[in-house]
Amino acid sequence: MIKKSFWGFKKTDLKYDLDPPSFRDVSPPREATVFLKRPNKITGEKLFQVGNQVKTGQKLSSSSDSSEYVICPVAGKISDIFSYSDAYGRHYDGIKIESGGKDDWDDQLKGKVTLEAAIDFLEFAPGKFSFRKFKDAPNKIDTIIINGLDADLGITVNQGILKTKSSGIKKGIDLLKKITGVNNVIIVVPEILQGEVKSTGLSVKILPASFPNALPAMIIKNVLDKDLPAGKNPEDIGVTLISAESVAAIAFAFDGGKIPVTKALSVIQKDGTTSNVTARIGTPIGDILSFCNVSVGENDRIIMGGSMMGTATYSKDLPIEPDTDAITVQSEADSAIVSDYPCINCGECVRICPAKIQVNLLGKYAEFGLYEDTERCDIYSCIECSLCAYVCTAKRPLMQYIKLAKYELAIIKNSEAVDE
Amino acid sequence: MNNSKKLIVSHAPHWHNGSSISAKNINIIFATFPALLIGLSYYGIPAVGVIALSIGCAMIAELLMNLAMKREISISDGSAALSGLLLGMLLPASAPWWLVVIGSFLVIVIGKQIFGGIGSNPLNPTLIGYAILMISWKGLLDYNEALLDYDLGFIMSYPLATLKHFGVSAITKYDMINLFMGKQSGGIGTTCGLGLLIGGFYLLLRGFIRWEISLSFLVGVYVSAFLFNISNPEGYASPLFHLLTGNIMLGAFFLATDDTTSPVNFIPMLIFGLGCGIMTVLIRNLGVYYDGVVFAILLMNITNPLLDKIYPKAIGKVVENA
Ligand code: SF4
Ligand code: SF4
Repeated sequence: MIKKSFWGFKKTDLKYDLDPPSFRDVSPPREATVFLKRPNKITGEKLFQVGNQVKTGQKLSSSSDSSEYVICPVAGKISDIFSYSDAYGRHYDGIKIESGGKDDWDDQLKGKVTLEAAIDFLEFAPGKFSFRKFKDAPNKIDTIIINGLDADLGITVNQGILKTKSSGIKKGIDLLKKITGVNNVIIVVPEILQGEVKSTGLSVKILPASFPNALPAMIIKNVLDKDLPAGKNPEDIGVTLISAESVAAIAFAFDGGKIPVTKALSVIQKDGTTSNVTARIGTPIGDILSFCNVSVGENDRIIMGGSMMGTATYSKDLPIEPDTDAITVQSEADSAIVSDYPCINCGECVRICPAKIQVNLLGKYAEFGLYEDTERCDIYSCIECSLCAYVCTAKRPLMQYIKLAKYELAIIKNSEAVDE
Repeated sequence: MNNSKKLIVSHAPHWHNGSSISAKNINIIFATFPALLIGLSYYGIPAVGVIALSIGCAMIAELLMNLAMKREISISDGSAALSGLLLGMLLPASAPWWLVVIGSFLVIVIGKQIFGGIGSNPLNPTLIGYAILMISWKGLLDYNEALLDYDLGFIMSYPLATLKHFGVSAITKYDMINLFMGKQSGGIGTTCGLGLLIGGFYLLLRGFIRWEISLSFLVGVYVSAFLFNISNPEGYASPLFHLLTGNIMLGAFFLATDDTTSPVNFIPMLIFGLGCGIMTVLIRNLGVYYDGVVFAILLMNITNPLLDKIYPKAIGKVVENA
């Protein structure tokens, strides 16, 4: 973990890793697991059950009416269906697929190069980019920003893709322009990758290579010189961000007619060394860790994502998902522990907050349940970068407070809406 | 899943920069040493007694209040020790033991714990304790009276008292270098400008205190004293004399910079520091007290929540036009 420098008057500067190791392939798992979002009401007939044979790249959805689907990452037999809730309480059907050992590709995508095809088949592709927004967003999307950096520290997936798949990126960009009809495409990269993306012919913007500049709101601020209005998505102002990996996946899909099922990810070990791998979506974390020779001990943390923004998970048996950019393993000694100390008003959080929020007040309001007051403290401007909690002298659980307040505010808003 | 190792799950961030309240307080205590040791070397055992007693009593008071209020024991965070130490540094070496005990309890109980403990006190606890003592036992805290028995080889009359009673012409006997080196009477740890400057710089560089407050405090003193001085050189002392005497150095680096009672945003910090400096000089030049640092900082502490209302617009904040 990166500590405060001894001469603490210097501003904390958490640099992104700019040296992607080359990708190594993890062989497809014996059993892959995918999580299908469970609809609120089940209508229509159930479309799959335990024992069904599936192909690689086959689409599974709960019912004929549902637009949610998952893609089978391996060919074989559905061996189990179980219910699963993630860290935020969303419910899923976990689907286990026992691999038959050989890939048998589904070819439904063949020959189709349209936005509809992308919506129908590529929403579960690596990067989990949602194509639906080109149809559903309230404002027409007129700008696409391709992100050549990864949001969190230590992850080098997109950089690695830019280096190794430049032709795929180029093709992907053309396809993306073609299916969406959006011509204003910008690519953002760290300075040292400027050369790699010249050939795309796009307008290239340089991002400062330190956290949290690769977060959507920061990219929009840096690149478009616009503030993302508080509480809004980039799509609300007609902008969407897509990762370099998703762009390469588009090329793979439409070029070969196969739905991509392989995810690139960084594995960050306890000592901070990174290896990059590619693995089938649905591969258990444990398989990937043993491929990289990472051992996990008692009281360690396994984090899906990076150390600043990732989600800690409780089991090595859980699979990687289409948006798992990294697995970070941390020892107990390196991991942050929160305390219930009161805020001492040191202001470290306020001075580091990239959204310029008065986090000290926000934290206190949320701590004492004054959720409506957190709105006055600009809670909706928060980009959830976690820097405030990273620097808090009193080690306050500021992110937990912020998430809690947002959640409670949503409930308050909902009940007000019902009352009216 | 059951036989595997237990993992720790928590919300992001999974890193912390390693700072802590106790490390901060220990460093601030450490930074008082240069000035404190000079003071102790001048006044000897009685001064050691005052400092030890003030730290000890402050910690005991904190412990008793923790127990009485059924709260977590918080003496290990070092903030009680620091508040006690700073009180001790303000007191003259001759302060009787009961005064130190009462002062330390006032610091912790009235200054801090009745408001809810660390982080909740609106005013600097040390200064609350000191101000109550100053009002209640004026004579015991008058450095001229208190240090009557000492002869340390430099001018033993308190420079600010001399200034107040005998005017600018009387202070020509003080040599600026001597003042800066701590050769003046005053509180145990307040006299050695050099030592406090070294400690203050250490804290600034380590990022434990904010330069905005310290610098603007000193600038505030200098500029306002300068203006008084050029308007009437016979009536008001030079800015340098003001900077080097009384509690200004301690105030600028150790008292005004207290986290809980100072603002966190850039412009408010500057206003806060300037305000402390200007108020100090106003009290010194126009008020009845010799030194204004204590009341100036307490006064600015009151304005702190208001000052911090001046903050930059959050990113993407939608300004509602009615
Ligand atoms: S997570 Fe904290 S530092 Fe980051 S934007 Fe939100 S309040 Fe600011
Ligand atoms: S960093 Fe922590 S202790 Fe300091 S002001 Fe922010 S919330 Fe309070």
